[in-house]
This record gives sequence, structure tokens and C-alpha cells, in this order.
Amino acid sequence: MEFKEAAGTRRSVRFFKPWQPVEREKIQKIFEAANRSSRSMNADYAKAIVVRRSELPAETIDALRNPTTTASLDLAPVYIFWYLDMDYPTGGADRLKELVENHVLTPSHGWSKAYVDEFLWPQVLKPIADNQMATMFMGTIECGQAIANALLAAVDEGLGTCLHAFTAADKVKDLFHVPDSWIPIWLQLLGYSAEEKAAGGQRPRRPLSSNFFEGAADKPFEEDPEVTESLKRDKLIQDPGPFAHRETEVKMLSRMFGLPE
Amino acid sequence: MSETDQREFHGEDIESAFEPLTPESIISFPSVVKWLDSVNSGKDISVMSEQLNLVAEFCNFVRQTPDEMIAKCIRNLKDGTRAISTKGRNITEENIKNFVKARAKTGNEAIVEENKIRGFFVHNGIFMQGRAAIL
Repeated sequence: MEFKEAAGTRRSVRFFKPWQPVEREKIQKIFEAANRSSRSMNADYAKAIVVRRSELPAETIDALRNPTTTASLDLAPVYIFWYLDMDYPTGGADRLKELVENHVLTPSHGWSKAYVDEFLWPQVLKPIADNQMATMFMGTIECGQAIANALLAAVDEGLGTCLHAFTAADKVKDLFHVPDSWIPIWLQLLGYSAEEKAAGGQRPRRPLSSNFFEGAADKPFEEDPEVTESLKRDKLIQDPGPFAHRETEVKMLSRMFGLPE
Repeated sequence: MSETDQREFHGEDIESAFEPLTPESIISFPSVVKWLDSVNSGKDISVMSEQLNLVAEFCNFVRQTPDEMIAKCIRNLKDGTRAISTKGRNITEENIKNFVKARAKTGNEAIVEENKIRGFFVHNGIFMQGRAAIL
């Protein structure tokens, strides 16, 4: 699948085929996509643990249930627990110097090993590392980038996926031997979608002009109609929902799984 | 659920005042009208007869009217807005499970029946989710 189609096809899928397992190779590809995400300091912000529902004790699944997640936990065959490792600044100076050695961070843009050791680390990064709020702020953004890659990779692999609130982290912590420095971010549910691929059509979005600007915040970005048409051909922009049959699709799926209609 | 919670939830005076409800007698309650309209868009409500019957029986089980059951899941805040009562919702969840258990339903049958009752609460804005029937 081309990038534009993957980005345009992504939906938050809430009905999975519980009977169809996810191939391990697809999970590896998802993790690799996450591992390739953009990240400052070349740090490892995001940590993830994949588990299969069929291997989890019933009491653990029950502990994860909350008013927003209960049904999907029963339907998704794979859970990915995403964490932010608050220890990510550790080793930051060495990683940056490695990038200097690899000619990624270059003198042309002001970089040197001396700058990293003598100024950047003590004056900029160490204070951030010592400030929990700053560490959290930066870390959640960078984790989000990794998770976004994981979502798109799942779509590219023909899977359905959705992020959910991650509760009962304390109960999971012991079971999965989670280090103290990891804090829960999202629970990604994964499986083959029981919904049609379009899942009722693309979700409503406001036009580019309401969120993006050119030159100043009061000058909306104007779309070029020809570009918009090309994005439709490339499937980044798809038919908007709800499709005429969406309500029936959801009712039928609800009935199949005994959920409220 | 503690005895105190139960008393607080049901109200001390409800037991003596409650008159058993039927599917026919609940359809005029605003919460039932809202539910049927939301789930069925004002179409023939005969397709909802099973759900109506279940909700009426559930009302009798907890000795509350449909509107009272919804009210128990809502907290009125000082600023005049309303919020879902976590405590009320938890008690409702427990009541749903106890009701279905009392009807000797188990496994998928129990899950489906529980979810049919949850639908009444969901369409009245009380966010809740039950298990899926995949056993």
C-alpha cells in the first residue's frame, strides 16, 4: 500500500475478528515502523509490549476493562501496551556524539562533540532531564510519533487498530515485569477488522483552511483544487462517511457479538 | 456493593411505593422515549419488544422506574452541569449482572441479555460497555 493510501485508510477500528490471529511477522513490521520514527536526541522514548489475548489470564483482561474499552478487549486478538520510558535522557550525550561521528549532525549546522559535551548536555538537556514535567512533555510527543508510525504500519499490513485508554497499569506492571521508569501511554488493540475496509467512510475533518495557515495565523491555507483531486486519486482523501449502509453494518456487527444496538 | 451503597442507590422509601412495571407502562417514560427514538429512529417499536420487556423486568428487579434508573447514574454538579456518576454506574453494572444471573442466564446468553439492558442506558447518555459474546 502506498503511503497516501495507508494514511487515508486508517480508521479507529472497534470491531475485530476475534477468531483470526495476527501473524507475528506483521507485529515485527509494526514495531520496526515505530522504531524508525523521528525522535529528538535519537532517544528511545517509546517502549511496547505485545501480548495475545489468548495467552492472558482472564483476570488480567478483566482488570483492563473500563467503560470505554470492555467490548474491544474481547474482540481484538492482540494488545500492544505502549509506554514512555522516563529514563530516555540517559545516554543522550553519547547518542548525539554518535550522530556527529556519523555526519548526521554536522559542523555546517553548528554541531561538534565539544558542543554536545560542554554546552548542550549541561546547559540544555540535563536541565530538561531533571525537570519531570519537561521530560514528560517531550516524551509524550515523541512517543506519539512512534505510535503514529505503528498505526499506519498496521493499516499497511491490512490490519485494523485503535488506541484505547490504558487503565489498571499497576496490575499489568507486575505481570509483564515493567520497569519503574516506564509510564503507560496507550493500549493499542490490533486485529483483522470485522468492519469493511472503508469502515463506513472517511471520518469528518474540517477543511485545511481551518487548521493550517500560510504566512500568518489569520491567513488560512488555500487548497489547490488540482492537488485535492490528485489526493483523491491517491486515496489520501476518500469517500466521506457515513456510507448509506453504515448504520446497518454496525447494527449487524453488534448483533453478531451480542453488543448493544 | 455495600449495604450503605445499596440503600443510598435504591432509596429508603422506594420499596413500599414501587408498583410493578410492564413493557406497556414504561414506554411513556421520557428515558424510554429517548431510548426508542435513538435506537430505532421512531420506527415500529414492535421490533424492540424483547428489549422493552427486559428493561421493564429490570425496573422491577431494582424497584425503580426507567427515569429513576437513569437519574441514579447522573450527578448534578454545583455549577449546574451534570456528570456521569461512577458510583451509580458501577452499581447499575452490578445490578445488571445480578438481574441476568437471577434469570439463570450464563455464557453468551448472559452477555447478550446484559448488553440489551445496557443499550437503554447507553442511549440515555450513560457511557458503558459490556463484554462481547465470543465464547
